[in-house]
Amino acid sequence: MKKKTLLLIMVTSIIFLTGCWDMVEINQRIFPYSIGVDINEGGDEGKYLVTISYPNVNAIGKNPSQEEQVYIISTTATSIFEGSRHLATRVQYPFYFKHLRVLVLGEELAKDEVLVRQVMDGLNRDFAINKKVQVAVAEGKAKDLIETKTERQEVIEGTIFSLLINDKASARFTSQTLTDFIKSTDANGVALVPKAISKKDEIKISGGALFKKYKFIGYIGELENRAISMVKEKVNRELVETEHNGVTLSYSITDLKSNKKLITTEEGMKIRISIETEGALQEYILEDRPTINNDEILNSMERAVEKQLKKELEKTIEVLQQKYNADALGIAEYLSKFHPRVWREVEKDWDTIFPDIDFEVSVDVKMRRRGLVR
Amino acid sequence: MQTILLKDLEKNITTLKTLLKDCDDIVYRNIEIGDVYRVKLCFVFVDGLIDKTFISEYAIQSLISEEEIKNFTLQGFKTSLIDIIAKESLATAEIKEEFHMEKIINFLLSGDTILLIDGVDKGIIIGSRGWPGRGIGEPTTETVVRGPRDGFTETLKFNTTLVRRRIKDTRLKLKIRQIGKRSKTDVAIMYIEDIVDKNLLQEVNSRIDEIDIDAIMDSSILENLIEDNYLSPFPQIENTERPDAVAASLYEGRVAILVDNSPFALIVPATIGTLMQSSEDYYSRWTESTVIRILRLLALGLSLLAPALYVAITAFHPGLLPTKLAYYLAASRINVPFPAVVEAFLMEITIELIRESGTRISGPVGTTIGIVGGLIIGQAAVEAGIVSPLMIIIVAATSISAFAIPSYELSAGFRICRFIFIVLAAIFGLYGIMLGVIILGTHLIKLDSFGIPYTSPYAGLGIKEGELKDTLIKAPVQEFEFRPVFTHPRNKRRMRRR
Amino acid sequence: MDRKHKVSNQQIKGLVVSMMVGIGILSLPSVIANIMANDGWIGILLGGILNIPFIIIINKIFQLYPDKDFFEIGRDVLSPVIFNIFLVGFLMYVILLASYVTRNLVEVMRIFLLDTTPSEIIAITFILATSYIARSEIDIIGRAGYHIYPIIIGFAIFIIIVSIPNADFTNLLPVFQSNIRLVPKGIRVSFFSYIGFEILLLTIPYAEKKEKTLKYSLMALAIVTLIYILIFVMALSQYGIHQLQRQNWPTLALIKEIDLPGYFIENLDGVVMAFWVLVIFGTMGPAYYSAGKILSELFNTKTHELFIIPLLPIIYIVSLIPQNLVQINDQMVSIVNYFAFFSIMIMSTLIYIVGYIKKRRENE
Repeated sequence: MKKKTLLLIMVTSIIFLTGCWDMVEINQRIFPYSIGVDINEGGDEGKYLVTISYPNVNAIGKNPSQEEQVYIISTTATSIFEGSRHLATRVQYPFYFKHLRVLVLGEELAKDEVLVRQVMDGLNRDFAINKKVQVAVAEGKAKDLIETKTERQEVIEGTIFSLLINDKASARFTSQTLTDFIKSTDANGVALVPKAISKKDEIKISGGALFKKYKFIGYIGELENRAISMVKEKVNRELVETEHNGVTLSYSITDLKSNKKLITTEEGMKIRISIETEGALQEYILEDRPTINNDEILNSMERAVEKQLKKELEKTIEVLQQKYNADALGIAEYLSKFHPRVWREVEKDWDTIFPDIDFEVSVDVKMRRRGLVR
Repeated sequence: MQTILLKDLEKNITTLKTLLKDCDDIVYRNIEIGDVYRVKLCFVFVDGLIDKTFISEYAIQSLISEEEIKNFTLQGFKTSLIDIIAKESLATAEIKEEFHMEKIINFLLSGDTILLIDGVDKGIIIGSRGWPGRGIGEPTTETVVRGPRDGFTETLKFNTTLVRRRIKDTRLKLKIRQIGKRSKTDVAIMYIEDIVDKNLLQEVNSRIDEIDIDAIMDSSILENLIEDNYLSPFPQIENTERPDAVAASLYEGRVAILVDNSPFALIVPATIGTLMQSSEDYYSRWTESTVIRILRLLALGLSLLAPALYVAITAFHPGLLPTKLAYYLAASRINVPFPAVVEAFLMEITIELIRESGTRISGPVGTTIGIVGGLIIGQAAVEAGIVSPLMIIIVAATSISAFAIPSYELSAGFRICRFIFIVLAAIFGLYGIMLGVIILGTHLIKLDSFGIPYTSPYAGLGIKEGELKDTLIKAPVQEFEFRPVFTHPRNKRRMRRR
Repeated sequence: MDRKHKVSNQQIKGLVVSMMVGIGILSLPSVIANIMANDGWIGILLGGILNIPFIIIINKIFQLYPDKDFFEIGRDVLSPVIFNIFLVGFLMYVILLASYVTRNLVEVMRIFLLDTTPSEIIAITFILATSYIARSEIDIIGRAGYHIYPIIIGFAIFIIIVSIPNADFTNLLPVFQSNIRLVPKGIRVSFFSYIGFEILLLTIPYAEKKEKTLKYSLMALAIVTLIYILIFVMALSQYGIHQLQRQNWPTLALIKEIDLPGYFIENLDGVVMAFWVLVIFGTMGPAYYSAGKILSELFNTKTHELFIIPLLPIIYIVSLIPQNLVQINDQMVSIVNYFAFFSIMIMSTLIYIVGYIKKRRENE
């Protein structure tokens, strides 16, 4: 009994004589939701210009005060974490990065491979950072993008984040998380990140920025982004418009399958990309009589859409091959997975081989439904 | 000192009177009967413990008017007088002859009437126990929606009867023994002979034999005396007010111990599984019982961990919360001056106080205290900004969960542990809670109840397919072909399926 | 030999599983991926298969001498002096294992849950909490293993199910492409991720039905192999080979990727972390217990309880020796593995062979 009492006293004293090292009350933390990284052009104190935005919790909750809803602060720093330490001296509570949602890279910074690699490594290594952070590139400066006050401000997770995760409705841009970014670079050497544009009081996500080996090499447009998404089967819903008998025809894609196939010919490699889509007629033209009442007209519409898509795809492939020499279509990944022997041969000279690969694109469009009217 | 009865009535009465000196509730009623040969008789009983009308009508009255005694002469042997009285005259149901003074006093104090006859060295013990007692009512602690509504009372005889009525089997055994040097409390051990495990029975008997105490006030004292680990916060013996629960557990091969003056019967062995069950489970449909049992487990977890988790998550790991919730929580706590631990302790202590005062003052006042105390204190505390609204919700959920556990003792055990968990969470966050879980889990795993692991049938000693049918899920009655294995019943089959 | 305590076969299965699964489940996928790339699962499978003979040998020992416990057999067969040398090795191994487990817990806790709490405090509280179960007898250890077992299964199933929606199974390709010369190296790593079945040496003598222990211990091995392979497959399909190779604790990182929108808990890693403490406890408890048991055998005392508290500072100090994670994962692991090989594999094989020969001679 005595021994037990002694043990009990020992244990309780261990508990009470020590402190609560990690205890920080929830209202005494700052939860940043977006972080912007730019290159510091002044150049004296570090290479980065770090901008952090976080919500004012006073403005949330039952009786929100009329204060500013979002706070934005920025500093120059030698790394983003050093930057957050700098900033911590300017705010009353420590930062807590677990709820970080968006990483915005400034265009200038993105062009510097080493800096991007450092940022990526820092975020990938840090245990508090959520690996589901959405990555975006700002046209211009990231600071400006974060500082943009939109009319319909999203206080909780930030406007940029809400825009970025809303990529289900169209394939005009493809959201990328931090892990996606790294995984994609690992597999293909190329990553495609959505591009964010800030105008006076509006933020727009449109198209994408191509990174090759963590170096920003150029923007691609919305249609090109759509083409890439199709090849990578990342399309959820998309509207395709084309001319048909002099009328604009809208076709909405509801289902899409994409296939790559390697054909080795004597001249070299040939990749066949075949895309099958299913969808519905969205909009045509109201005529006096029912127009779409036979197979032929549907077939001719399908051909028109196919032609349009094929054109887009071929154009995109050409841009990727000739202009950027960036394998955003995931050909390298496909080869390494399904044709490891071939891949082993071409792996080293992939940069020189890729622009010369022969592509054969085939699109198969099925118009399953024609809407409520004929 | 005289230890056995003598033939001299006067001397016997004097001895009794010296032994029971200053006991003014003892009544000595002297009568003389017989016309030919006068015999002196003396009825001794404790005022209030006996049924007086019964004794007057069927003992005194019948003795006085007995024809044979009137004509009794000394021609017969002296011993035949007691025979005549015992076998022919007394119109009472229970009769015994006894000559040990000590035993006589024992019967006397238990409410029997002693008839002493002059010239006979034996006393006649007339079973006349009849004291004011509570009638059989509905149990207050374990009410059911569907199922029998009779509950135990403070009188042992009634209680054993209630069980016996449910088991009309010659193999139902009932052994009564007296525990307590002074209180001489009757303790009945009940079991079904061909089902119960012999080792278990032996263990129960030997533990009860070891008891050396002056008084047993309630079955809970006996419970504490025969428990495996008396320092543990958890009960290792089940108690119930319901005769149907006792009967059901006897059929499972367990042993029931009923104590006089206590409406709570003890059932051994008990495991966490049995303590988490309610009689209702067996009377309602299996689907409902299963859902309820899962809910109960959830309630157990909540009542143990909810405030600790609140502390751990808000003060250590807000990253676990969805972003929106984290922001709202931060916003709701912005004016709270205390750390989350203090907040949790404050509210937990308050709710314990409300609960305690509500229990002590029963009836409508108690309910009022509960509602007024809970509502007003909660409301005011939030208004004043001392605690956050979420804390109130958590505390309320915690205490409601605690009441969803059928065994009051078990839930009380977990309630105590809850405070330790809050402290652990305040120091180490989730890791602290896990440390607590390890220690608590180890303790539960180490506990035995009369040689049966406390956590069986989950403990996996002789686990069979059928074992889990009556644990977290409750299978339909058709599935219970065999008795549960953890009690090691000798007769295993319970029913045959159609 | 004490006949009072009984362990059922189900408990043995649970105990072996809970003892084997521990650190390995967190780090094995990336360790093996760094050696064998996409074909890591082959390494895991072969490592599991290679452990079968040793499990059979351990079971056979007790079939040769059904009425004796491990220490009695060892002393009879190998003569007390040699056996004591082996026992010292065994003791070193279990102490090192306990320290290694503790240190890993400390590192993981400091990274995922408590970043400023001192390592010393985390280590000592964990050892203290485990010492409670280490003081009990084998039947309690068996029960503990049996209770941890469903937690491990649930832990694995949970990780697998929640990561299925994000998984891209084409990441498993290409298969059978790795260099055949790397296979032995991979097996060496995976082979030792199964150590832990040595608890059978202390458990089988107390089994209720001895004739079936072999079946249940092999079943345990199969379950662990399956868990390891499935976790590897999920981690690989989630990450692709390169990102998997980068991770320290791919299994936990896997959880970090999971997004269950609309759930009460968002970042599941903390919760999984917390449950992992229980998994680790399942390894630590029996190891600590074994250390106490061996000491009590060496000093010939009645109970092992006296040694539990003195062992606490030893495990604590050893656990804090490595300077950083690289040292833990390289040097400490290989020391643990050498001792494991020496004390489990060599000792039990030796006992079996010598015992077998002795028995034959007796029969002749």
